[in-house]
Amino acid sequence: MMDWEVVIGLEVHVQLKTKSKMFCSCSTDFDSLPNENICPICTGQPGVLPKINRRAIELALIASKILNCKINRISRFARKNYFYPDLPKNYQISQYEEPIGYDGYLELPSGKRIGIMRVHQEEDTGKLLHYIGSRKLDYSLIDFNRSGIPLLEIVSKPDIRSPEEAVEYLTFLRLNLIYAGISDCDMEKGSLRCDANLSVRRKGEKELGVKVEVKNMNSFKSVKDALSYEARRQIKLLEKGEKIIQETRLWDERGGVTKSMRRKEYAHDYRYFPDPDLVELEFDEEFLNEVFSKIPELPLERRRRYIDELSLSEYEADVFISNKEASDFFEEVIKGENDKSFFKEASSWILNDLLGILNERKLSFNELKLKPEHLKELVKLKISGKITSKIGKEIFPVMLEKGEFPSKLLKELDMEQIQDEDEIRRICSCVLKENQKVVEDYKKGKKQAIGRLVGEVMKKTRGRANPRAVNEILRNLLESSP
Amino acid sequence: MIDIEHIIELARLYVTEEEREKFKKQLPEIIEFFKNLEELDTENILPIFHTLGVKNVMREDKMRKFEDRELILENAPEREEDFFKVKRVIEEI
Repeated sequence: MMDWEVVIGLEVHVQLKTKSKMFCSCSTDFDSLPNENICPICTGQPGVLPKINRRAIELALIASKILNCKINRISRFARKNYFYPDLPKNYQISQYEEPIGYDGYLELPSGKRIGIMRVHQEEDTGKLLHYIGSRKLDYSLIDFNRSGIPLLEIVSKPDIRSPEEAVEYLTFLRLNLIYAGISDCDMEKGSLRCDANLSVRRKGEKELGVKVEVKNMNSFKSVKDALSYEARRQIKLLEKGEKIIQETRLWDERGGVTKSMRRKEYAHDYRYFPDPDLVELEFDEEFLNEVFSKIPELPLERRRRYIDELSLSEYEADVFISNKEASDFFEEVIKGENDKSFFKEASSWILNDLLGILNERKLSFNELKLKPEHLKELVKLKISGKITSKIGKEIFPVMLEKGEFPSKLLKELDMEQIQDEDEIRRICSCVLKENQKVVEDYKKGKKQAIGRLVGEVMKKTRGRANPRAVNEILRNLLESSP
Repeated sequence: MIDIEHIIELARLYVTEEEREKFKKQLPEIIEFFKNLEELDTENILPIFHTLGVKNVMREDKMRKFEDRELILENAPEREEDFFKVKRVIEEI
């Protein structure tokens, strides 16, 4: 194992975040009934004319830009011809010689750059079903809802050197695509799919080994497991003096092995040619500038801002950037604020209180009744001293449950701060009378004894007094009485 | 050399033995005929893909439901409920 180097290149497909399909107006909604979103164009009826979705092109350009790619000023679509039942036209509209972007890189947080060969636009195919529930069918069923959904294919250079690095690349690529609004990148829903090419060679060797394509990896964990297995398999074969066959292998999750794909091998003869139904795209400076001006803040930029401008810790910044929903919620809470203690307090509520509860209840941010403006008010009440930590912690679960402003809930629950200073003074006097021993301690010079007394007042008021005010009133009373 | 068997397979055509023999002769002749184009001097001519000179035809990303979906399903050679039904294709292991 030590003498070998693993060489990996990844092909990632992501579904672009559009409302309608790539070449027709059908919906891209994932939760639709079978064949609900189909039309003559995406089912390949004769004589129909595809029409390019502008938003999909913009997203492809943004992806190319953030992956530091060169952009083809003239881009074309090509037909990739093959027969398979999930492809009703018998060709997939894709790109061949003039992809949207090419020759870029993604810089990982570790500083290593993974080269990007190309970023091209294409359409998805239908979905084949071989099972109903657990019953294996002796025929196949097709749902064309997915047919024609815009996809972006991102092909890396063979720069990845381990299964772990493959996952690092995927994780960071995904984060960037999510932040840039290009895709949801949800592997469970199939909006991010990944195939790999893997070969091994002796360390120091210049030539690449024979590569094997690995498919059917459905999570980042299975990417890591499949590639680790495949690397070991190849090394073992080579050490026995055997040869690697160039082939496609499928990851078998349950068995924990890759298996040769026994599909009849059609000579890969796709006969690409420019699609005569689609005219070329020519991007001028003005168009590109306009598209690129809309690129949102990317994860590393946000991380830097959180640390440099908002004075959050590196840890807080990292948790936020890896959880865009949390981070976007935080953004809403701090909107218009510029006080560092506000940022710190808001961050603490989200990271220490909210995330735990969400994980526990398996909720996502958009299922929350609590709105950013509710938390914003809570943070304000807290840092202005209008509520104590204790009251804050008590009211927070109620806010979550009811989705109301804390001020309203405090009033309803009679937890509002006592504004009447005379009342506080009255309670303070009462506490002094009841705690003669502590008062004596204080008068003998044990000044810290006042803490006890503040505690007693807070207990009596159920935390509704401002501790700073109580402290002052007690001090005055103690100093003025003989 | 044109591999007629390969072309027949790619096109998914049913071709009889007789036709095969016929095409084996005809196809090279057709290709040969196209070679006449090679006589033209295209030294300084850029390739074009369309004769229209139209570029950047795009539509806005607006969703609109196609109302006659049933018609498409009705035309399926075979259907099962709202699925298209085809001969078994094995992809998984």
